[in-house]
Amino acid sequence: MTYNRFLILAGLLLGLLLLTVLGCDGISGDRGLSGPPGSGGEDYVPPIPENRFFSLAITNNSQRNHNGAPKLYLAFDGKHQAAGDTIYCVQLASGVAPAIDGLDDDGTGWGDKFTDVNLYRAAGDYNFIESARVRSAFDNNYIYFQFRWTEVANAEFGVEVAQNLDPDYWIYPEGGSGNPRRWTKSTTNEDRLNLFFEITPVTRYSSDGCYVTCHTDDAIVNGNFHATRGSRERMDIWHWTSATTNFTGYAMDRYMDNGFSGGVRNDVGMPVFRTNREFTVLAADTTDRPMYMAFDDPHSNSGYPLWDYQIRPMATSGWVAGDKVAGFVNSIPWGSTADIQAIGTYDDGTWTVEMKRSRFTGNGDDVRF
Amino acid sequence: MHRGIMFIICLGLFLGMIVMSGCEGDKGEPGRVGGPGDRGIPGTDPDLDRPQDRYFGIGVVNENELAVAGNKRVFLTFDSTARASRDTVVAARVQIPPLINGIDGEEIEWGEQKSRVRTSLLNTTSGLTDPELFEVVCRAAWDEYYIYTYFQWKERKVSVRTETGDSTIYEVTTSDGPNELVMDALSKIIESIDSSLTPYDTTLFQWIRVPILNVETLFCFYDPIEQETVCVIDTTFGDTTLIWFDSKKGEDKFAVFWGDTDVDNWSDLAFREFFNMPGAGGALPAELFVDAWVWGAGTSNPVSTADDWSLTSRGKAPDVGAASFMINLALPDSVPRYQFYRDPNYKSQLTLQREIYPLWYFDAVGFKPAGWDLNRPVYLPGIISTIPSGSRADIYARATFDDSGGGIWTLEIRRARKTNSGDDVVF
Repeated sequence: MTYNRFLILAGLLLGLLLLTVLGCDGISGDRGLSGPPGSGGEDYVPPIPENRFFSLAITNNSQRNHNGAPKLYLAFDGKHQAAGDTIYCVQLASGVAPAIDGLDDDGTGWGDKFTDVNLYRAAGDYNFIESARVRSAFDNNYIYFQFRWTEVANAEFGVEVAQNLDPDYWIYPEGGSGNPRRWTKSTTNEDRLNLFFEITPVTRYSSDGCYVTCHTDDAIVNGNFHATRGSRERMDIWHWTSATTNFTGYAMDRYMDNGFSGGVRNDVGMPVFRTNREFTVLAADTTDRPMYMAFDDPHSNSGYPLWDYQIRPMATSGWVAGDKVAGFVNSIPWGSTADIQAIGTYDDGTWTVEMKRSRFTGNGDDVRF
Repeated sequence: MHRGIMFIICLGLFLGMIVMSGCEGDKGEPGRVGGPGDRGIPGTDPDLDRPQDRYFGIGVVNENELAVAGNKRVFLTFDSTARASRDTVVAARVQIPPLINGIDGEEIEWGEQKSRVRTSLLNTTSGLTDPELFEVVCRAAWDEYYIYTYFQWKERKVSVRTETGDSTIYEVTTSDGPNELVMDALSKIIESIDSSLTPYDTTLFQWIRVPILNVETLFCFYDPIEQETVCVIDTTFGDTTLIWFDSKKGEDKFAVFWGDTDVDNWSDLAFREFFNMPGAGGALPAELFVDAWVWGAGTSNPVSTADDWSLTSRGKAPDVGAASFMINLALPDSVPRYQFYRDPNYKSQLTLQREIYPLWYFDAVGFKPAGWDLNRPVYLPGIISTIPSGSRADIYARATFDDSGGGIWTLEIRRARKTNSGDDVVF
């Protein structure tokens, strides 16, 4: 009996101990302080442009004879190699941009990616320029291009290595024997670089490149002009020239469609150059001569550039046979035609041309990156 | 025995309750500081979001700047689920901007919705001829950075000239001010010049060279046979001068007003001030702000822009910068400042008004009174086209005029949603 009581008492004490251990947790401490805020989110950035095709054409003292790459691939996504026909468009760090000055500077500001693109005869005669080095970069607001190529002389084809700064100028009639109202034109042209981008999808462009816009037959001009084939197809054209645009720091911004009149047009606005020509036919009398001359004309032979703030009405006397007057007048462009900054330098037969444009201009005649 | 066990159980429960309720123990230590939060999500630019809906007003004139037809209150919504109606324009979200070239790109460029907004003569001043512009087709589009608008209207030929017998009388202002006798005498000259008027009006005013007529050179008498006063003109005296049509003759114009104010009648005030309606020049409320886009067939269209103005309590004023045109006169009632560099009379051989416009700044030289062939009509434009700059150059605008369709203007406009200029409304 005593044993049972002892056993019960021991059980009670054990239970009491268990209750003490299990039941007396104490009060939890205070909640710890909140941690520091996480790092800030990233600033808004426009999405990386979609990869796209584009076309390149280069001439040497010609408007028509061009070598080119009708279909190049412009890769923004960083997943492609800069090789073959692929141009690696480098994403620039914030606050970094290449200087658009036409100077290569060993690629400073452009990143380490470039592609040596093979060029082929695209239209007209072969001009022997077989490759061009292409760099490209972009940031949140702009896209940049650099092109370098070296001209090649060929006496048989009449191709020379030259800067070509006097395109299509007027010449006062030789010997004074001609009609002083009918000037002649030089046969000189200029070096040119053209880029083509799709604004709206162009049929078969992704397979044939800019060939699909060449010599489209409109049944009027024997098929010898450029246009898209579909009524809503539109292409952007960036047109740099060694004289008529290069003096201004802009490229000529154009577009091509197949609208009611078709073909290539300047973007809306004041173009960077226009033809300096007066052409009238009155009865049997034809006038074909410069519309403007330089301030110090006649007989100054001042050449290019002839800015619109430097011109004055054409004089009818005071000229000497062989006098020259510029065939184009330059203006500071305005409007959508002034979207592209472009400048080139010429060094011992090599052109370095650099371009810059807003990724999105808000103009329907411009490609959006 | 059982009683003892029950007692022990009860005692245990009692002690347990004491333990449960009494053993609070010591308070624990505060917890540790939490770890850093997750990185924030990438930001968004609220400026790129859908613009806020708003009201706007449109005004259109056909040659006569005072006779404005329009609609003072049109609703522009950027909610693509809304339906376009006569007073609601639904803006389409576009990926490829419309081509601002004045050529109707239709739904391919502008989306499916368009509004046929009713317009009516708004200036009730007596003596004005209703231009009978009853409808303007409106479209709008937007993207992250720009807003695009489209307007199309059809003109009607409205004569503002008065007929007297077989003679057409024009109001003409000479350098000495209006003179009825002179006007009557000149009517034939001007009539022959003016016969080429078309609905395509690009002129603010137009210079015409005529003989100076003074008291000595006009001899008027009453002809009893004809039973009217007859004036004989003697042009052997005097020189010639340049005159221009009176100011009621102007260009085709289109204005868009955007109110950004709590002033309820901002649209009324805008029309009043910009179209010189009764009360123009009067007091304006302090909080008033109206952004005005004023397109002119002669003043802005050749340059592919619209003139950017605003209206505040201080009155209407152009935005900062240079305009797309210069008025071609030295002083009111004076002579033109410029002429085409090949005149006289190179340009005057052209007979249509549209062929003397635009006269670009680079084609203009100082006016010289000598050398004109007065046997031919002489035209000089009233404005010189230039390149605009600054905030005044914010708007791209281009229009085309379709004669074949009976005189249809198609006007397309583009402007940045945010120009960062305080004199522009933000979309």
